[in-house]
Amino acid sequence: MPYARLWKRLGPEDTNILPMRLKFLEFANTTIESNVHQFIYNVIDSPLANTATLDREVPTIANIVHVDSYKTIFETLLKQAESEQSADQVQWVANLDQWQSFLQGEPSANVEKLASYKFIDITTEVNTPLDIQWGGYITTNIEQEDSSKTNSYYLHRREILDRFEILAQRKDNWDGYESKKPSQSSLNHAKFIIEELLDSIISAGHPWHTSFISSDEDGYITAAWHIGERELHIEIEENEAEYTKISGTNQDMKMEIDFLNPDNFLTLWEWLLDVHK
Amino acid sequence: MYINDILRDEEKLYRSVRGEIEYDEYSVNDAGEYIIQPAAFRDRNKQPSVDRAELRNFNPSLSKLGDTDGIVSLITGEVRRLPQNDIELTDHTIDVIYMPTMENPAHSQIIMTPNSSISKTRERKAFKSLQKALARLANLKGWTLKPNTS
Repeated sequence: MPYARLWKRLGPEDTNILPMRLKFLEFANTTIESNVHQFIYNVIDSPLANTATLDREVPTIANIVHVDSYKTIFETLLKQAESEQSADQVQWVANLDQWQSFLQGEPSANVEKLASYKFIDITTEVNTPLDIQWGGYITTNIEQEDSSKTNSYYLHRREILDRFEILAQRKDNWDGYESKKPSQSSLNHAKFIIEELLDSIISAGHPWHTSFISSDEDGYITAAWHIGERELHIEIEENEAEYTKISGTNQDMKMEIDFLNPDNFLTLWEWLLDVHK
Repeated sequence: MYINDILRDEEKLYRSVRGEIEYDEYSVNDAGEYIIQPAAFRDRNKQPSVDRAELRNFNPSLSKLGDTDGIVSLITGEVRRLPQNDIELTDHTIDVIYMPTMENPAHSQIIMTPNSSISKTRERKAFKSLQKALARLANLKGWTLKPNTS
């Protein structure tokens, strides 16, 4: 998708932009040529964290709303829509017009409308020299050390998102062992966690190692790293996540399991890389 | 079916790993190494099948279930001694049981039995831990036969 077009749309009138990083969610009609696009700008890092604006508005102090409102709406829509979708429909679908009319009633009619749309998830950020150049009016509070690191960061992110697109295509019994397909909510949660993990690792100046991302028999998302003699596995369900650290040989194998949360991202990564402080 | 033979701790076992990479039973890392993944030990009944190597005349090719499949090896005693300090595997007995069939006289199964009544959730989690541990054992040994991906 043309990120550049998104950024170029930010014009001279957008002078009231706050220092921030942005995450885009684009909800587009399947007939992209029809140019029916609407956007949410989800502010990640700023005094306005966890806020959003609707429909092409760049976030400012005046127009933000709390993103949890939209999260709730989105989850409700997905649950209702999933209960009616046919087995071969695996991608979802929303448009802010539908969201808003959904809120105003007639949910069953809107579920039918939703089925004709394709959900396209685009995530990117504006804290790269390229994006700043395109946006022109975006500023950031994120320090960039050098452009090569930034390029690498975006390559990793793209790699992760590509993998999620593959997982989203899976159907029940995709592996012949009756494994469930990943649920959309597990995919969303996992994508969020792995992106946050990547952010944490890169921000801390550690090298990122490609993970092997898959889904298990319950439809939960898994990610695994094998670095030297150490392994780190994470398993992400709809509402929680766990990690497993494995080390040692066949004689003294050690496995440690615990809940995963952002506070232990760096500790786990440093353990995986065997970084001694 | 008859079960009349107990595997010795030192016995080698073969496990067939599907060669089609889309099944996620192995992955290829940045260095081009083939990493055996826990999914290589997935099983509907939570009892992954293995072959007794000596009953395959130590010819791993005979244990392949598909032309492109790879073979990994385990040692019976190492499976039985898998980490009991793991929170999910605690209170389980892990064993390898000889279960020959007409089609496969070497067929055996890795069985994990809880020592007391546990919930379905714990049972699922324990099996996932077992899969990770078995994959670890297999990776430590390396491939006996690599998948044929050409």
